[in-house]
Amino acid sequence: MGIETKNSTKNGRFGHFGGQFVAPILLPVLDRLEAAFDDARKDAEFRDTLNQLLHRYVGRPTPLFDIPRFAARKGGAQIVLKRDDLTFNGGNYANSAVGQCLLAKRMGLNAVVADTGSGQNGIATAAVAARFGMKCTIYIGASDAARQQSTVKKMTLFGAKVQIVEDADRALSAATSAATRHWMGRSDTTTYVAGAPIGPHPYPEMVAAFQAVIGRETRLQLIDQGLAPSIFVSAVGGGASTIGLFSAFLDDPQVRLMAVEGAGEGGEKSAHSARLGRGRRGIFHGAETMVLADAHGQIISTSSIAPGLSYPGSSPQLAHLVETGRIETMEVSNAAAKAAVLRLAKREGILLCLEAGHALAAAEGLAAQLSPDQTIVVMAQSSGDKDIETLVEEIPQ
Amino acid sequence: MTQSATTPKTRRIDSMFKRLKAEDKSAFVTYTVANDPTFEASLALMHKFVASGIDLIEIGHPFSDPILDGATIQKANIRGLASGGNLDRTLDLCAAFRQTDPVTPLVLMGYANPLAVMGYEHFAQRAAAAGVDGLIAGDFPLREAGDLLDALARSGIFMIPMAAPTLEAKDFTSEHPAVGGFLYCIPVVGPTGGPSASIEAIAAGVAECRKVSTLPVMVGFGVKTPQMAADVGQVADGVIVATALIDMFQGKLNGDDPQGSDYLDYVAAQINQFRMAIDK
Repeated sequence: MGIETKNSTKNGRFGHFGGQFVAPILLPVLDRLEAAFDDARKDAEFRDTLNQLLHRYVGRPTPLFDIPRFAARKGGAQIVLKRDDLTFNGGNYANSAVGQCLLAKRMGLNAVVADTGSGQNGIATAAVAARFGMKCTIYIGASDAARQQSTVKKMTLFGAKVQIVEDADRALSAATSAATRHWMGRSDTTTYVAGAPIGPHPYPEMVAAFQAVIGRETRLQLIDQGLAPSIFVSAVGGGASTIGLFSAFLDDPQVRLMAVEGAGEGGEKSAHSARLGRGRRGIFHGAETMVLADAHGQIISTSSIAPGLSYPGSSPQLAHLVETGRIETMEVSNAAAKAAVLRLAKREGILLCLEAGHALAAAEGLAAQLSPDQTIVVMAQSSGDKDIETLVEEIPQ
Repeated sequence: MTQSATTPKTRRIDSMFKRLKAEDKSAFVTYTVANDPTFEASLALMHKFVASGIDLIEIGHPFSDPILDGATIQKANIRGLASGGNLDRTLDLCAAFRQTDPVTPLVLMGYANPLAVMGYEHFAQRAAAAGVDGLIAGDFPLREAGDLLDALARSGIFMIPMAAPTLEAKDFTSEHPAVGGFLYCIPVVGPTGGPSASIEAIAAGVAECRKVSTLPVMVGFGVKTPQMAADVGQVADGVIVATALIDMFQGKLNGDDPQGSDYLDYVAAQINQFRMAIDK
């Protein structure tokens, strides 16, 4: 297994997206990280250690299998799930947390800081930091912490110091800003573990490289199972699992790649988190990318029932792939996502997160337009344990 | 655009340093967020700054996500936004200030996204028309600023580079005609309003800047007291005090009239104390 990426360009640019829009104080830190990553990815020993950890510590490869009882109506394409919810800690975030912590260790750093929205990057980073004996600080928005209390407790059990952020939207965006400030003051000992392929170069490229294992596995599993899918569907928050899955299929023009964004309550007027489909070009959290901002460039608060989707910025690589037409976007409302998660749980015994529920709902609509001999692959990035409180409100007593 | 557009406007910062050098003084700079708490209050405050000894004003254009700033300036941004502040209104404010003060240099300070959304060319032209002399953008390093620098050069506005002891010279020096004014030397790591560096570390940082640049060097971040400002003034060409003064002003304001003489007299007295310490 290699850790190369596709479609990345020099100087961290994907078309006109990307770059390093950071306080100058972070430039040497990013330069060191870039050099260390370039060096590590060529090192066979680093790759072996990483692959071993992905296998034994994260629990890869994760299964790919169908969910025949999920569909409300018969007759459409078959839907198969890529089950990254079955990793040991933090769903697919474990892939890049292991990679980045291993790299930090190699660079002689002894502490990590991360932000988390859905809690999964926090859990993954806290778990790996525990394993590597590194100090770990996790920033989470106050509203995300309140609706995912068990995740916060889990991070604490792994020894992480959890910082609840009351600023701004009290969600992922505020947590990212706070984690960045923390990192700026301590970059001599601490590295920032990005959950998503967002932020300044080399983060988008590096996170995508560590997440590419999802797509590579899926490709082999599809061949193994004799499946030739028509569409890959993934919900986009920061975009870690989306780019991880899609990266292995970018050069297969016969397959459609569908990025699903949170429509919030739904409708034109309500708050949402669809910055790839409805955002504007801007500069946010270190990169030129698609952002939700008003006409004056102020960042707009997002809304989604899935905390992991509720983020106003986006991966510069995904922004580029959407702009060039390789990736399509769709929107799914809170209610549709929730209904999909509940039905999957009832009919298949699989509890997925609300983020994945968006992809499931989108896939169901797409499947109806295809024939039963066709296949749609849906990314299941993490389990729904964190959303139990939100989900049980919906079940009639 | 013709040569004439770049001549008079770029000179305000240069003439300030020339004047101060002749008087053997260091520059004293402060920062305020536009529209904190209102447009009119900002205008009154800026004139009061100048009247009580400020040489150059950094005027923050409010942004929803001031990532380089600590709690004090984050809150100031929130107040500025709440009263309708944005890049557009900040340029209006600069233009209003310029009507009665043609001399004091104004340096716009803020973040990249509002500039990107306004468009660099449009921004540069509007800023020049409003009498802005320079730009400091917290998340816009020189290595990314090609298009912005070209636009600024066409309008005769300086991009003020931020320098830090950990940076390589290439990240704060440039031959580009838009890069100039002064070097903003940041002797500490971390956001604004954080801990102070020792005067020895500051002197070393300034010396490093002078090795690779002929621009005047101003020191900001972590300068909190008149005594410290005086010490910094001994080693640098200028001192920037932001968070410490905003904290004092907020403490005094506390619901009072931000345009009232009680508050503005207090502002003048505080500025004066720093000014006297720096000039001693």
